[in-house]
Amino acid sequence: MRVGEHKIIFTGSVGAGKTAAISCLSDIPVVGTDVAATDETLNKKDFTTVAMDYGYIQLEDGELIHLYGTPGQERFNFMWEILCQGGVGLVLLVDATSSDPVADCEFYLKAFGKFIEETGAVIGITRADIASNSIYEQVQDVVIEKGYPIAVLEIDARNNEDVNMLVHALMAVL
Amino acid sequence: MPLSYNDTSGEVALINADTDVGISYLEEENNDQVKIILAERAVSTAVLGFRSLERPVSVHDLVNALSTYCKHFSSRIDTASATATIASGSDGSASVSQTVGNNTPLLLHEFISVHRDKTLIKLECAPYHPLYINGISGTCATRASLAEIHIIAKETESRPVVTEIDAAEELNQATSNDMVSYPIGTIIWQIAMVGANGTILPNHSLDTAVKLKSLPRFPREYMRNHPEFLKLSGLILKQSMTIRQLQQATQLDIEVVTDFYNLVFSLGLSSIDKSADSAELYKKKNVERESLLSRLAKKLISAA
Repeated sequence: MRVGEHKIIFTGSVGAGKTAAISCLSDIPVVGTDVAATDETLNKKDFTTVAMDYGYIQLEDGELIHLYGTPGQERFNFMWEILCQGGVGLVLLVDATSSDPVADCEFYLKAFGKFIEETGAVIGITRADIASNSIYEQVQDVVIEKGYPIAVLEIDARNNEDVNMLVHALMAVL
Repeated sequence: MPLSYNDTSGEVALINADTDVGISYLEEENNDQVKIILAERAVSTAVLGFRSLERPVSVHDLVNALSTYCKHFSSRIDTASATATIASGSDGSASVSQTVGNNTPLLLHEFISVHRDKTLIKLECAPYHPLYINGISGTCATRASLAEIHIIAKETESRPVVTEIDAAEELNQATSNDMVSYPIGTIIWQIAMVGANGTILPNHSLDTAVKLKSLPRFPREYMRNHPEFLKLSGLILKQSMTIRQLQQATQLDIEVVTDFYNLVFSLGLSSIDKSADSAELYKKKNVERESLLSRLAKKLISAA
């Protein structure tokens, strides 16, 4: 695998839908590093990504847009900076059903702040349809407060059209 | 459905409407303590005028149904002296004032005024189902489809009739069966796209630069079908741009760009950038990246 200069990074908390989103876009089956969850992640899913997910979109002329998903757990944050090198933009997925999705959003915006300022980002709120409260406005407020030019959309990370739309939104701000 | 705003005690009853006992209960004059009655059925069709939930009723369904009621309970206001003012922006440079109750030049203006002034109105345009617009909860309840709302917005000969309504009437209508509740911003957006005819706001020009503060909240289906709005939004999220520059950058029809400009400004989602030098506003992306992005867009569109 050759790491090209065109990369889109997918990040977000555990279970936010990063692997599913990359699967929607990728021209190849996602190369994952899922292992059986043994920590608090087990409450959300049986398997979790520990290094990264990888897929790519092949353009007409053969050029590749690499898609990287970061591991969700904070203890793997040393991977984040490495994965962002050469990235063109960030897709941040926020799980609306997590215990504090707005705090999750703030955390990732801060963690990837430099990368976002240098490139661009979009936020996809996932599982909004089964969350007890809408967090859209709160996430929007966080973005406005930080002054980032970031579009916020509610999506289903398993739905190709939704993920396509999210990447369209990202492209618009790049 | 006995509803009393001043009495906060009460119960929520979920009745199995597929049984004789359940039907009997629904037919009775119910206990005053029962504030909300929801029918549970094998199919989600109305029964004796009560909202019904399809079996099995999940907690999520129940929460959604109750949320709808709560949202409307909280929207009660005194609308007796409501006078709507359409202000096109925080700078107050352009404003059109009119009294709710009269027919108005544009359906769009009605929605914008309700949204801004947080009033409640019923908008009738026969033969279509009336629109019950709640500026407090930011919803528009109707049985009319979006396509029919487009037709109403385009209608030039038969103007919609607007009447004020009280919170109780709005609640009764909005929570009745088969009524679809749309976010008011979505309706405003869609109406503007078909009904504003590309006319720029008063005292604005093709060279007025604006910057978007946040993206309008659209339903997914709408966004999927209108990627051009994502592009327009993205461009002025990142930098101040004029209508002329937006049109040049996107190659969309000037009417579409103007309607977009009008709308985000009217909804308070954008602000004028007076300090910006319009000649320097639009920093074009470098050619290589622009090419990459356009090829990626092409690929995504073909994949869809």
